[in-house]
Amino acid sequence: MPVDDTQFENLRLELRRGCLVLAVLAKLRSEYHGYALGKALSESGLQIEENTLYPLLRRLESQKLLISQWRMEDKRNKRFYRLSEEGQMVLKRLVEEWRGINGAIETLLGARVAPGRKSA
Amino acid sequence: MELLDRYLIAVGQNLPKPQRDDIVRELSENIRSQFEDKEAELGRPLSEAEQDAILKQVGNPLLVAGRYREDDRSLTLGRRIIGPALFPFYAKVLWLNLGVTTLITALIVLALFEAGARVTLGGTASSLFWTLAAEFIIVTLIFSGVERHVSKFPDRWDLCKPRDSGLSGLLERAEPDGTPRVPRFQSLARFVAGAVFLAWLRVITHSPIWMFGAAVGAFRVEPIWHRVYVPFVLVVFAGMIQSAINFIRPDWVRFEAVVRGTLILAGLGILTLVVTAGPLLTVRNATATPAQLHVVHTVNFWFLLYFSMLAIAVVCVAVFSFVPGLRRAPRVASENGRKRNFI
Repeated sequence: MPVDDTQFENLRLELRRGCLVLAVLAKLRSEYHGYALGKALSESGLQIEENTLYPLLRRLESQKLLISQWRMEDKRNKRFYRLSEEGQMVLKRLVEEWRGINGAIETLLGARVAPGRKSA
Repeated sequence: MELLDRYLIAVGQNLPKPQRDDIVRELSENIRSQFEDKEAELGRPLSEAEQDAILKQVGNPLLVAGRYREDDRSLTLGRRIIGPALFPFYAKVLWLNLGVTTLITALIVLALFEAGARVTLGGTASSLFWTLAAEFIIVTLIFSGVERHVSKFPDRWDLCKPRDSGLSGLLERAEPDGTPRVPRFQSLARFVAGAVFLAWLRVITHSPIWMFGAAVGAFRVEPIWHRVYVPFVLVVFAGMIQSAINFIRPDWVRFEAVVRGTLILAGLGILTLVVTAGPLLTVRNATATPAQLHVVHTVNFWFLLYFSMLAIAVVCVAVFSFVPGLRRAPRVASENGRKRNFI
């Protein structure tokens, strides 16, 4: 991979890392097991690798943002995750933060794109 | 055994014990759900190649296990040299090497000090520092090479070939069917330890002042050291070659047993020669003071004590290694037990 691509890949991963936590917390307002959550996120347009998602769920649970429970589904025992009360509060604050950042970035990008459009 | 079970064993072996069963159980359910989805989509059971493709997507077992560990330690010098997946193995090998060197140096310094020799703190610290620095560089270089290989070829692992499960199989002590194998980590650790030891021996032979400090001027080594030096280096070197071969062919368990058995016997022979040779050091000049004679006498006593203890340790290791009931059986039993837990 050329140096520029590597650099881009590192920056892209860095950008995605925080977004993925927010996406997982948002999706887990409803209950999901690991594989179903990955599929649901993918259907929402956010691909997340299994080897990132499954350890992330356990980490968020150890931080008490999620609670989990083993339960039977389709004759199989699966571990279901959902947001804890603490997780709901954190999600609320993260969403506010996200909206602030998103708005600011949109403004910045809009300000940069506009002159380009004019010149084109 | 199913491909998935082999995969789960490979992941489980690299997970911390307290969470191992729970993580493997959950991972197993998630992957089985993925298999079922694909089967429903195709309308038929998955072939081994299709299962393998899904497992490849989940990732290299070593790296997957690394992500579950909450230990994010890594070695970064400008750029990442050793990542979190390999760091625990690196730390183990490094601490083993540094610990043994520090212990040996401490024992020698203690013997010299007790004998009344002039041992300076600065001199000892300086020689110890450079020895440890050299070991750190060698071990780090070897592991950074392994790290680069894993990063460059993350998909180079194959569970369809049990003998070649790549770096994920670093710690495997048995094939999935229970056949014993030499853990690659053990071969790697022995090779690194041998290389570091030979480098250290070379330095000490050329500049004994690094080990004995200012007291070196009072000693003269007896000819026995020159007689055993080459055979001793050859034994260590042969051990390194055996480790390298077993790293490539971990299934050559009998080869490992025969070569290590021979080397242990050779090592015991050398140790016997050293222990029975009489004084190992003498005073440099004939008109030595009683104080110098006392130093040499005490150092000889300590050396004799070390080598006798080393000989006993070698015999114990040999007995432990070559009585199958003591070593292999519990491991295979625990592998089978773990396998049952995973399914």
